[in-house]
Amino acid sequence: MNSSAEAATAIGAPRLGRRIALLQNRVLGVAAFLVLLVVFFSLLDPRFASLANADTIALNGSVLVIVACGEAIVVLTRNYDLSVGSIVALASYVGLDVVRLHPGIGPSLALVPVLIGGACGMVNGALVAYANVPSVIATLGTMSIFRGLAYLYAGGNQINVKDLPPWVVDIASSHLFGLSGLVVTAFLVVVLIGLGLRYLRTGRQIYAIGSNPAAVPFYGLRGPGIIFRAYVLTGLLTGLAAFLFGVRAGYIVPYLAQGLELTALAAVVVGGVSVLGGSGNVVGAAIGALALATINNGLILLGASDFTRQFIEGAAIVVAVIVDAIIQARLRELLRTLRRRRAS
Amino acid sequence: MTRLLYRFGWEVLLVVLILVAGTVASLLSPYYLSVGQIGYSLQQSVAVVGTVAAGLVPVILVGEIDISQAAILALGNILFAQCSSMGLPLAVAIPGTLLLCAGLGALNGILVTAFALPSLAVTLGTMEAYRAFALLIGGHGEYASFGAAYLWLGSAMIGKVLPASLVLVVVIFAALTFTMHRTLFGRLVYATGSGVKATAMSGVRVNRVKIITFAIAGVMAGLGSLVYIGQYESARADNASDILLLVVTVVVLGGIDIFGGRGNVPGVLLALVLIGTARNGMGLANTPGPVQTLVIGTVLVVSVLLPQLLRLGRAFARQRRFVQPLQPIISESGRTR
Repeated sequence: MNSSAEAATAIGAPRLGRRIALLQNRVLGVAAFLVLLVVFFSLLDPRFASLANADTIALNGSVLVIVACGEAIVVLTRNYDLSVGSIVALASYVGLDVVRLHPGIGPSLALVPVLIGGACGMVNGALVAYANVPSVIATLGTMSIFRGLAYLYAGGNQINVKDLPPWVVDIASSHLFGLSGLVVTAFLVVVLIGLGLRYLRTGRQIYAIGSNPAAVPFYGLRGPGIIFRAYVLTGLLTGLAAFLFGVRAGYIVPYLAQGLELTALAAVVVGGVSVLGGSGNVVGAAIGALALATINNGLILLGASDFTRQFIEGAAIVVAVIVDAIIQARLRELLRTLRRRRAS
Repeated sequence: MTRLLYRFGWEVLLVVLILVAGTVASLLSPYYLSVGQIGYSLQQSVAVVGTVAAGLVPVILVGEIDISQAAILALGNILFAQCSSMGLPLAVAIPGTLLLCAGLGALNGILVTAFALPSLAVTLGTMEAYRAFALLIGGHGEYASFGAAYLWLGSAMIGKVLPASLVLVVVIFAALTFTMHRTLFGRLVYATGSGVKATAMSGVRVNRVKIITFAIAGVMAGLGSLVYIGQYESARADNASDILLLVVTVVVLGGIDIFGGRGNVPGVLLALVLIGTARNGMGLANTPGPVQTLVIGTVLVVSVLLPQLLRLGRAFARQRRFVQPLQPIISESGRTR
């Protein structure tokens, strides 16, 4: 990713190289945005800058971080997944119902919602990768299908977390090194997926297909297989988020997590993942999710109305997308200069 | 004959499906088969959707998408409600609101074209922003008292059986068919949707064509809000938040190619009737709402899947006859949506 920057340094254009590296590393910008937000809200309201409030933000944000991570993987392949909110509803309802019916089996049943999420991801992946259905249409359809299935399965009932075996509640309230188990899980997911995307073969292939889908077959790679795997991975992560979401919500109904897909997409876009695919990473998406959680929390503390929150979220998406387009154009220009200098 | 069937095969299929759906509905319920019932239920289920979908057709034909239409409709509702509570005559309210809605649509188009951005991401952002404006102006309350003139379009019955809003939908589609299939602008929309680069190189200002299609989407959403108000006598900032699935399904089921540049406008009207008949039948059979949504979602996926599979099948048949060179798997423009 930084090879062009290194090449620039090698041919004796370190300043050019530094500028390219800076533009390519968008996580810095997103992190700066988050810091600015924190400073801004702390100045406005002293209650904001407390450890307890930081804990609240992290706890509220952790589920969104995991979903945004999954969404980021699909966006990196130049596709979208609008069905993650419905997957959360289906996986948490059916998954936790299985847990409720079999209290004796124990924590290994936490895999059930994850696998349900994976199965949903396979449906999305098959439609987009092998049947060539545009991702927006395919996942708009499956969004209503998965939610409808959750309703059909639930049949008007709801699951109360207090009816679930005690290990479920233990997971929700567990702590490691003073941090909530949810926060630790989200952190681990970001680190593992981030490293995987950077160093594993599938990870590199995901970036490759997002950067230039037309070139992928010429490298001997199978494009559909890569996109399919990306969707399955997103489904598995969403299933994990579904388990945590359900446990944290206290009661599970089929209309859980409506509109989550939009917030997740917003987090991904604000986190510097290019909507044209192939650039950005999950650390950025995670910081984007935390930024949205911070805005939400800060505005509630300030007593701002719904419309402010919604407007800021919408404006953040538009601005992030435009900034991304400008950065891409600037990068192209710098790389062209670099190539010209190397040639001469 | 075969050539006609080849060209209008999809439309013929839709007509057959409408007849099947109608037959099934009349078998399910003895109340189905009456002109009044069909007219009323079609108005309830498709008048708003049809108006909005007509606006989405040019956008999809040009190869883009607009998911902010429902938010524009909600904002239009709030504006009409404000006009009504101020006692403004319709002659002022309609042009004012429609102009504003057109402006919001055009803003989408400008953002998409000026920075060469994917329209889904842009309209996702503007969708939230527009709805936020609706909340800002309208608050969380509900307007429910409108002047009689405001309600006419969405609730009047012509000759006691034919809802005025259905007539409006038919008129809109007639106008759209003429515009898309018989005017210069329509041909430019198709050309832009089939190949942006080639069209731009032949001297067409493709960005302007795109912006106009987005503005049309905005106007139609605004018109949809007038129908909405008459039908439900209610204006809230969160109106019509679940309309997107239906609108996209109707357009795609109508045979408009989701990649742009292909499809006949009258097919969308047929798809509208089909979806309306199916919803009517499901309603008479007491199918719960989420299950109806499930069915619509399945219809959406299948209606895109079917032509794609046919295309793949044809490509496969060709491949067996000739040895094919390396084939790029993603669509040639390289942009998946």
